[in-house]
Amino acid sequence: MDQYRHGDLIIMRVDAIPAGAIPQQHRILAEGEATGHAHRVDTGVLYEREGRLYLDVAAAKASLTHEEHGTIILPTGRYEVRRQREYIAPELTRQVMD
Amino acid sequence: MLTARSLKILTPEQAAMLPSIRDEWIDRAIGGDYHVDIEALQAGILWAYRRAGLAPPRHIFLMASPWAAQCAANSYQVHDQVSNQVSNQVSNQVSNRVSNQVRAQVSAQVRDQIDTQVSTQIRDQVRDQVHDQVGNQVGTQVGTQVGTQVDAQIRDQVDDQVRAQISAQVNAQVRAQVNAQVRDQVRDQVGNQVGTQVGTQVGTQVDAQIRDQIHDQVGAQVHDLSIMQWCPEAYSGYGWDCGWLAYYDAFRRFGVVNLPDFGRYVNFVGSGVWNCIILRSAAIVCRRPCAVHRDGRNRLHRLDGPAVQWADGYSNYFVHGVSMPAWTIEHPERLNAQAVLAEQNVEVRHVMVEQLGVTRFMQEADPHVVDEDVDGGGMPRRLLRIQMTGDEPICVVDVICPSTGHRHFLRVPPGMQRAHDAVAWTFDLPPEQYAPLVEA
Repeated sequence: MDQYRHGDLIIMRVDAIPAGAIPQQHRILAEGEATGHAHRVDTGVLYEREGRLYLDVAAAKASLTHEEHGTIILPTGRYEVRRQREYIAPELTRQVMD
Repeated sequence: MLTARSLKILTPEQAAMLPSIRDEWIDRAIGGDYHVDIEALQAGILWAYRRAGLAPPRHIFLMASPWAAQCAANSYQVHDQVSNQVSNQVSNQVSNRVSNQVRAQVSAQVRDQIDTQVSTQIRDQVRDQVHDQVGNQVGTQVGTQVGTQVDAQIRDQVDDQVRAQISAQVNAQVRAQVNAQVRDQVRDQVGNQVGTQVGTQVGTQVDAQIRDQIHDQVGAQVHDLSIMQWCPEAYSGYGWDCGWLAYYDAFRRFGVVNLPDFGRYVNFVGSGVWNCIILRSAAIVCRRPCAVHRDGRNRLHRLDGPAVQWADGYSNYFVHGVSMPAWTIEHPERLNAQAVLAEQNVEVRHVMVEQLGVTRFMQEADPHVVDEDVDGGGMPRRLLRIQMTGDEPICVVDVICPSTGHRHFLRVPPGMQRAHDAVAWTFDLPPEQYAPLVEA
């Protein structure tokens, strides 16, 4: 399972985008609250299902960029995008916010 | 006027103009001059409404900060809603018509003129040197950052109002009455002991239902008043338009662009508008900031005071582009390890650790090193446990970002034994499945 780590995100190759996932009208994988910075791709279609994001890259490659992080090249394929989480208390977690 | 595609290469004089055009626009936007040319402003607003096919606004309000402008807009909405229930919807449409449509139309016309007369290479050259740099330094750094802060503060304020209203209505009226009724009925029938239990249960359930009902009704209404909801495309002014205006302005100076409407848009913004909230019958204009402090990478930054100041005293605090709570800058003596560990935003937490000093943070937190290793990219990782009096221990994984070099302390469940397992847990992955090919 190919994994790409980009700051507080992990992008993991998956076999398929889950059925019922809804295409999004943007290419922002995550946005920072304190910095206004964003993880974004220059091509591909983002999908959302049950709070999780998926990315379909049909082109030969997509560039994953962010104002503070190095660029990662994602080859053609389908991916799940996961945001890092933190522990708060037993049975409680929250997404890492930047 | 130049003929089609006549501009194929910039003369040395034209190329030399690009940095000065860039600096001129940045200086006009965030150089500290917050003067507004009232006559030019009025003419600009009347033109924008007319251009969007709307009747002129009855009022033009001039405010000194985006916070004051947003509060004025929300208050005006309340006033307007009394006389016209659909005004909220209309206002949003109006806002979009003036800000989006006029901007889009003017921009499209100018673009057509440039596209037919300027080679791609020159367009790219001017875009790199003027559009992107002005846009990044003014729009992204100041416009977006301050706008996001104001939006969050407005949301908090609206939430506070909702909560306060619900609390007052539920506590003072509903809960007391329902509880009293249930208590009296049940107590009479089954005695004090059972009555207390049932009364509490029923009271809690009714209370929750009514709380939901009131939240839906009151909350939704009050939220509607928060018209901004962070949509920068709905504003006009230096804060949002600087990048593309500077880019097209370069071509105007080269003699390529000569559209009257572009000149009018520049004059409107150039009268001193940071942003302008367009309502059906009122335009609410915000002056430019009176001081903006930045670091060497043009990120908003100041360690001994607000990075952005507005003429009415409203201030915004940033450290290397990270939006900080005011107290961390105004009262750094209050910073300690406990405050760092209580902060939820990792970037804010990182700045707080930097302000406090990693050494002092570690001394105060006094962590036990549970495990340490090196990640796939060669970066050291440590799993730390901090004993807390009267609470479960705090377990954090101490990691360094390979791109930024920032050190982050991420909280993980207290039972963790290995640094690798802890990092895998943060991505909701079993340890054996966490193995990134690339990390940046």
